[in-house]
Amino acid sequence: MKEQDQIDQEYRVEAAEIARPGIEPLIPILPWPPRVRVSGLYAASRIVTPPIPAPGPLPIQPVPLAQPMPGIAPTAAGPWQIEELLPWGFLREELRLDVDGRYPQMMASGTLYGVLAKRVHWIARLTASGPNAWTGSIWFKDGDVASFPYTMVEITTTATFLSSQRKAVVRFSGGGTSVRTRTLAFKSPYFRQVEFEFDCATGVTATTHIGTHDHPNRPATLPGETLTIEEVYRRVGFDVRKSGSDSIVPIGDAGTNARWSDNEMHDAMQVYWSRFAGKAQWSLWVFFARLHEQGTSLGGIMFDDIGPNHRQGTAIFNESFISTAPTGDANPVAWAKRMRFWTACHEMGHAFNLAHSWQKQHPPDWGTPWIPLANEPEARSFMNYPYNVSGGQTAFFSDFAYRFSDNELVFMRHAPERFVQMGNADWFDHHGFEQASASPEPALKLNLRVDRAQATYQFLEPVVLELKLTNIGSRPLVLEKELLSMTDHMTVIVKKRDKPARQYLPFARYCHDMQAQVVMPGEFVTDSLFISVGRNGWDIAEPGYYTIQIALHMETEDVVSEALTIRVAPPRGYDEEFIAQDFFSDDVGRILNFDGSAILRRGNDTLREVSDRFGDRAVAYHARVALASPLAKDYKVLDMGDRMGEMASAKEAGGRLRRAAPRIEEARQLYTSALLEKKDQAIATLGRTDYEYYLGRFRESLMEHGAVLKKEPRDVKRDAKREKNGDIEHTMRVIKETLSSLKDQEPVSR
Amino acid sequence: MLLHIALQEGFHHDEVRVSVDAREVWGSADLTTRRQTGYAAAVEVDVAHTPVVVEVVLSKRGVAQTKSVSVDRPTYLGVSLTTEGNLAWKTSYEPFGYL
Repeated sequence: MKEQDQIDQEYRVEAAEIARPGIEPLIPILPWPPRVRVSGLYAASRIVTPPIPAPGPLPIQPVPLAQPMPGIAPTAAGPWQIEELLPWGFLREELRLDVDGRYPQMMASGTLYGVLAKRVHWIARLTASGPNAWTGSIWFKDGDVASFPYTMVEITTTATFLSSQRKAVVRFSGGGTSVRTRTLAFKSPYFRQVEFEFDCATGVTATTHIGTHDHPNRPATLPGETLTIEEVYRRVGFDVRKSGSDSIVPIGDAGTNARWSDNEMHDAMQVYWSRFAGKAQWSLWVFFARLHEQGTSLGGIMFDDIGPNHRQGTAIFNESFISTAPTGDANPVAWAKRMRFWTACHEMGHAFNLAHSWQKQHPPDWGTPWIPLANEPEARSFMNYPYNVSGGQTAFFSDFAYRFSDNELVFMRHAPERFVQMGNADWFDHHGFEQASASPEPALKLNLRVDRAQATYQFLEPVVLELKLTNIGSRPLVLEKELLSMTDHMTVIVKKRDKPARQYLPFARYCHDMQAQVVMPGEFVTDSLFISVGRNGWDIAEPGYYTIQIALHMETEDVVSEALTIRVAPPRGYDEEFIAQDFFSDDVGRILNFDGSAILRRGNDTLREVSDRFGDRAVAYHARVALASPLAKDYKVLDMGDRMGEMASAKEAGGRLRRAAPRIEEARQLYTSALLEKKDQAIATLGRTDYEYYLGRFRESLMEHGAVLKKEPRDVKRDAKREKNGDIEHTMRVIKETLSSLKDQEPVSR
Repeated sequence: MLLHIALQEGFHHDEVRVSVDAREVWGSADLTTRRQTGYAAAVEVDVAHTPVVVEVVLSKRGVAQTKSVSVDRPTYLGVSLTTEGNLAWKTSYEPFGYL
C-alpha cells in the first residue's frame, strides 16, 4: 500500500485533472477552486461479536475476530471507526465509487464479505444529487442477495485533501426493509490491485511503453506523453504493481522449432513466473516471444485456457505481422512499436476476461454470456481489431485515445471479482456482463419476481417468473402492448452456480399485432415467463442455486433487470428421482410450455403419473393445467395415417385434419383440482399472471360447453369489467356458480 | 496462384467441408473457433485459373454456401459463421492477422 503522503500527492495532481471520457485536452484546464477527486475504494470492517450461544449439546465454535483492512488509517476512535454495525454475518464491506477522475462511469459498486464465503455484490448507476452526493438504483446483485434487499443507494462523500479523513456515507433503501446507513473510510484512489510480470524469450525485447506522439497518425488532441502498460491499467482503475524481476525464458523451452505452442508457454509460465500458483489471484504473466507455432499471422494470444485456472498468462509475438507496418507508412518503426504495445494491452485485456469488441453477441452454444447485447465493431478500444473498423487501422489510430470502451471499464471496475480476477471464472465465462448498453438515466425498470416469500422451488416444479416493467421516468412512455411476451426482444440468461451460464431459448416466438399503449410515470406492465425449459432443453432442473437475469432490448437502450437467484430443492425421495428421468424430457417440456398437447402421448402419460402420484406437490398443478387444456375444447390433430415419418407433404401423404372431441368432465376435474381447491398454492407455483389466464380459460370452456347463467345485462357487463381487471376472487365465484348450475344439467359432451 | 481460405468466427463443434471448384480441399468433423483470436483453421490452395468457386458446407447445421472468387493475385478469403447461421465472406489481398 502506498504511503499516505504519496496518496495525498496523487490526489492533488488528480484535483487538477479534468475528468472527461475520451481524449484529454492538449492544455490542461485547471479547475478553481481545486476539486478533490473522490472516486476510489472505500472500506469498513468490524469486530465480530460472537452470538450468544443457545443452550444445546453442540459446542459453539468461537467466531474469529476480523482484522482491520490494510490501508485503513487509524483514527482517534480506534483502529477503524464504524458508526454502525454491519448486518450479522458480514465482516467487511467495500465501496467502489466511480464519479470523477479518468473516464468516470457514474457507477458505484460494493461488496459485503461474510463468514463461510458469504458474499453480496451490488452495482448502482448514479446521478449527482448535490456537490458531493449521488443517488441511483441498484441494477445488479450477485451472491447472497436474499440478505441484501435494497434497491436504491445514496452516497455522500467528505471531500478533503487529507485522505485519512476522507469518507463516504452510504444509505441503502428500498426492497421493503428499513434504511441502512454505513460510513466507510477511504482506502485507495484505485478500485482494485493487480500485479504484472513481464518476461521475454531469449533475444526478444518487451515493449511496455511508447511515446504517444511518436507516430504522426493520432488524434490531434492526444496529449504527448510516455505511456506505460501499467499506466494504461491504472487509468482503468487498478493499483498496478510489478511482480518479480523480469526474466529471460530460454528459447529452448519452445522446442526445436523455436516457435511457441500454448502448452509450451503454459509450462514456461509455471517455471518462470514468480507468482505462479494454482489459484485465483490478481496477478498476470505477460510473455514477449518471437513467434507462435501458428506463424506470423498470430500477433498475440491469451493462451491460458488450460487447466482449472484460466487467464493467468498472455503472450505477444514480436516477429509476427504486428511488426510489419503498412507499405508507405510515415514512420514504420513507431508504427510497429505502437502495434506491439497495443497488442500487449489487448492480450492483457483478455486476461481480465474481456472479449473482442465484435464478440459481444453470439449464439448460446459458444458458451456463457452473462448479458450479451450489442457488438461494438467500430469501438476505439484496445479490445477491437484496428484493421477491422471502417477505414482500417489508419482510421482507428487517428481516433484512438489508448483506452477501453465504457462498457469494458464498467466490467473491470465493478463486476464481481470472480468474473474479472485472473485464474477465477473461466475464459469467456461471464464476459458478456460488460455489454449492457443500458442508459445512464433509464426511464424503465425491469423487475423479476416470484409469487412466494422465498424463491425456493420444489424438485420437479417448473419455474414461472413474473416480469414487471415500470416507467420510472418523469414522462409518459409509449410501449408495445405485448412487449413482455415478445421474447425476441429479450436475452434471458440462466446460470446454475458453478456452471457456465446458458441463454434461455423459448420453444416459440410469438408475432403479435403491433399495438401501442401509453404507460404513465409510475405505471407498469406485467407478464409471465415460463423459464424452466426451452430449445436448449431443461435449463432449470437439478437441485441447486440458479441466477436469472434478463435484458430487454428497446430501440435505443437495453433495460437490464437485477439478477434473481432461486433455489431448487433436492428430491423428496426415490420416487421423485425415478420419475425425473421421464419428466425432464423434451415432450414434457413442450407440453408444459404450450399448455398441453393431444399428440405427445408419452409426455402426457408422465404428467398423468405426476398428477396421480405427486398430487400434493407443486408440479401437480402444472401437470393438471397442461392435461386439462386440450381436453377442454375441440382439438385439431393432423392425422397422417400410416405414412407418418415418410418424406412427403401432408397432402401427398393423405394427411387430414381430425377433430378430437373435448372431454369436458375430465377437464373440469383437472382444472378444479389445479385452480380452485388450493388457490394460494396454485398462484404461488403457476404465478399470478398465468393463474388468471388459466382461470379465464376454465371459465370460457364452461361457457362454451353448455353452462348458462341467467344474468341481467348489467351484471354481465360488470362481470366482464371485473375479470378484465384481474379480479381473481370474482372469476372464481363465477366459475363455482357455473359448476353448481351444471350439476343439474346433462353434460353436453364427454 | 495462392488462395488462402481462413475459417474464422462463429464455429462451434461444426462438421465443415471446404471445396474449390467441386474438389474437397479441407474438412473437419469438429471445428471450433478459438475465441481469443477469432481463428478456427486455414487451408492454402494453389489454383490454376480464375475465378474459382469456393463452397463451404456445415452439414450438421444444414448450411451450404458458395462464392465465386477472383484469384489473379494471392488472395485471402475469410469465412465466418454469423449469429443468424449464415456464412459471411471477406476477401483480402493481405494476409489476415489475429490477436
